[in-house]
Amino acid sequence: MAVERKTSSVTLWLILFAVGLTNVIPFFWILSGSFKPHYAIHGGKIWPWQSYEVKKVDEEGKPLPLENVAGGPAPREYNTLENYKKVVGQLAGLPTYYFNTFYLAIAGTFLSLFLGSLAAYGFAKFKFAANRFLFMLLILTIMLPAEVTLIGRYELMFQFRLYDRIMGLLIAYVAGSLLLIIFIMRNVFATIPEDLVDAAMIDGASTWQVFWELMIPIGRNGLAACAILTFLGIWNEFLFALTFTSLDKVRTLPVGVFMLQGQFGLFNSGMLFATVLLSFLPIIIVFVLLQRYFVSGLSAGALKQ
Amino acid sequence: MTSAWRRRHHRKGYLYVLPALLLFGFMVVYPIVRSFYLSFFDYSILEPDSARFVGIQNYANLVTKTPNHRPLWNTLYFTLVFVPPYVTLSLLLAVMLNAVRKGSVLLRTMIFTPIVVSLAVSSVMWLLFYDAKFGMAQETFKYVAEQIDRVWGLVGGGTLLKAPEAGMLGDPNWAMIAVAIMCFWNGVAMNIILYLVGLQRIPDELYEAARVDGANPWKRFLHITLPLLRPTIYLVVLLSLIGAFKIFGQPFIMTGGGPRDSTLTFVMRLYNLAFRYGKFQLGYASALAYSLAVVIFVATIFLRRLNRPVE
Repeated sequence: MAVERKTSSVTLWLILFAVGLTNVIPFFWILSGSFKPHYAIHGGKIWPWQSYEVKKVDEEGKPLPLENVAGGPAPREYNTLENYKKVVGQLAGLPTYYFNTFYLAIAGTFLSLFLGSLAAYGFAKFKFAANRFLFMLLILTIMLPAEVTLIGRYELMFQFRLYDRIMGLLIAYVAGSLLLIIFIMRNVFATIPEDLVDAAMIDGASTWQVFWELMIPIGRNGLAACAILTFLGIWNEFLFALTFTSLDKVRTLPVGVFMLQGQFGLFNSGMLFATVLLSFLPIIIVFVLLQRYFVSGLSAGALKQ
Repeated sequence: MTSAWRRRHHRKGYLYVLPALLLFGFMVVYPIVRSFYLSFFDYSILEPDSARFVGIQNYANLVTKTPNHRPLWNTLYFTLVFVPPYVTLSLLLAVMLNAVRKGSVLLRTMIFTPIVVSLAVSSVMWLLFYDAKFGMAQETFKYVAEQIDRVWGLVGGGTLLKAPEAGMLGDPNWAMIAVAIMCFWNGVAMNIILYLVGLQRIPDELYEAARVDGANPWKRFLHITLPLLRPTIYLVVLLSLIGAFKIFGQPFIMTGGGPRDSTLTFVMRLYNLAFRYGKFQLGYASALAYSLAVVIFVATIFLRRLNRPVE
């Protein structure tokens, strides 16, 4: 019995390992391709152990005619750093996209968490006249997909001169993230006993102190879950970032990579490989380092839904 | 504490909810109302003064105008090929992951990693991966097709499966399936995580008791896991369906809707009407957005009914 269970769990592990491997293969494939010149990729030589004939290329990366190469057998190479040199030298855009995306995701997460938990505290612990009504108003919008706000927001962006501004995207993202945070945190705060709050008030604490020194510390697990969900949401967002910006300097990483793909996908695949790699590598490193917190945070968020 | 103090205290609640509600009203409620209003107008941002009330014409166009039919079918097709494997295979993976005790961190890291790569970056990545000339997916497809044909040929069969010459994304029959595979890869971790949470809430004693009674793993899955996981399954199916109805970024980046409109989805049509065809038909696009909202609303109600426990 014990032996049987052991072999079956090894089989299980191997199956899952195979699934995991196929899951990460695209990453390694991109990594390999980023070290190859355009003509080697198109010749199907992408893995690091496949060598290719070195060719002289012109400015655009097209191979030059053979007579330009000195006699003797053409030298063979396995990998080159050429793509990264070019990407760093030519595509000043990438750092900007990174900065914009991180700025939006981090500032957006903090702002939404702050405003959202303030409101959640208000809804959970105060019995003001419009409490029920205002909360119902929020619930009404939860079923509507974000797409119904697209057209209205697009007009607002122009009316308030927020088009092509990071500030415009920030406001839209924060407003869009509030609902989930208010929902989750209202439930979290509601479970904190009234007695605890009353005791603090009798000791002379202000409502702000109750919020900042009691609610926030007790609700930190819920807040962490909200933070991860919000961060991922903004990090991923494509439709609004695409619609509300047109200038390179306000582009986010998703839109920027999309534009770069259109720019040189056909002529220099090597550079595209390198760009794609640079756009997922940092977040994957962060993820692998923080994997445990990430999953438990997401799970906590899922529990609340 | 006096009642006057109490009233004054509770009124402070307004102060706390106000900042969020102001922002929410400005950037969510107003646009929602505005879009609803515009959906009854023939309205373009280029000529805001010539807006014309057309009643439900924009909504009727959805049914009567043929350019809208293809995106509707495509979105339905995507939902059909994407959602069933997405919700079932992720359940299978979650149950397996849940059973693994040792070395699960490595497995989880490998299986979950794609979730942090944004949909746009994943799309560009898979655009390369699918490339007809050098893409690894294309080569794998060719290889598998050859092997299948070889085996089939042994019993005298002809060609069963052939990798499309133009790559999966370049072939109208395969493009949407290719997009669905990418979406599966990118999003499967989210479902697995949701399922894992549900699985961890099922008490171990139930499985122990069933094992003592001699129930095999399949019976245990059927009679313990599935019924107790029902709320989670409901949530996963709902979120997957909504995600599928709203599919936009992935096909937009990978194919732009082609080849021959085979991946032109509903939200892409909305986007094109509003921002791409150069006419900025914001009223028409708003009507499409609200139609999507209605579909999602109906699907939610329908699923909620299905989820009602059997008496």
